[in-house]
Amino acid sequence: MNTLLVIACAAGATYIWRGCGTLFANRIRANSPPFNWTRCMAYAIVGALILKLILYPQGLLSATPLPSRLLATAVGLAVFFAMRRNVPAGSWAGVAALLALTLGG
Amino acid sequence: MSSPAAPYRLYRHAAQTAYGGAGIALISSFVALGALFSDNGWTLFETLLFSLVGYALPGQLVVAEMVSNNANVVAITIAVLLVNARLLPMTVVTMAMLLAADGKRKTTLADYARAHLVAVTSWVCFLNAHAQVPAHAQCRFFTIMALLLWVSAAAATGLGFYVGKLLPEPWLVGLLFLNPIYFLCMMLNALTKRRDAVAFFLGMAALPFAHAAFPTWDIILVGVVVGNVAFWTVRS
Repeated sequence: MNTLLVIACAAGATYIWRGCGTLFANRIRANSPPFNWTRCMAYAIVGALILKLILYPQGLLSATPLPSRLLATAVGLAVFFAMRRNVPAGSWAGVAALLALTLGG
Repeated sequence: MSSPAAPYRLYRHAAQTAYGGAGIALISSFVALGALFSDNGWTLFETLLFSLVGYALPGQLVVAEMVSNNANVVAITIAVLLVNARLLPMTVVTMAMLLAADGKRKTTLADYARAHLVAVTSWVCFLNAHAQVPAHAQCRFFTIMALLLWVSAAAATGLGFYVGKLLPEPWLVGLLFLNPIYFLCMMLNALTKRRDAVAFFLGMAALPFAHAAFPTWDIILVGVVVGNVAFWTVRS
């Protein structure tokens, strides 16, 4: 397979959305109804994407058991809230929990 | 930000935002990505080039996975198109905010270049930090912060290309897992409006159903359906 062709096609398939987004931004004012409509879709997409990375990951992460990933997420969230919404503490606690569950299991 | 030290403070704030956790999660994930491309037999040049021009982690993970399964170019392109469609609403929102902050009506070529830096990390960082930046400096703030993230991601991919082989597999798994758990915590702090929160949590709740019905289109489907439900039913 031609790697440079893969890179060019994948880069084009990525930038096209950013280019179109910039084009549409010309016609949308911040805090207008179309802006808030787009914003709602963006938030819904990010929520779904985060959960997809946890529930249905690809590659190496898919080799870990789903219960371990869910439990690790719960541990991360518990630490996040216990430490007054501390993002690094919650994130690393989640990773540590997954490592412990993976290595321990 | 009006003092002579303002530019320095702006750069420092942008760097702190980029590396105050977000950069660490991003770098960790891209180290793991570099290791995947090294395993796929790509050269360092190809790996770095792809990280720079195809910058968007979920799409890059899809490419790594499909290349390892010998998928053809057309299939890879379609898969990347679908996975990265989320960038459309995120870019619209970011660019509209930057245009409004700059008092501009039309985008320029520089905005099209800047759009390449829009990704989940830079988007979430900007949402969290933009209120603390004066309107006239928001565009520069976003550019510096997102540029740092972009360059760091490419450097991390290069690092992962070599170091990834030395790391035990569970560590690579941990680095990959940091990304979603970090975004989740970061987004929970970014949800200041009720309608945003409804869209976000409803998007999560709808994902398993959308994935069961249309695994390829799940993210887009959730975005369109849930986004509309949140917009039309919840008052801002």
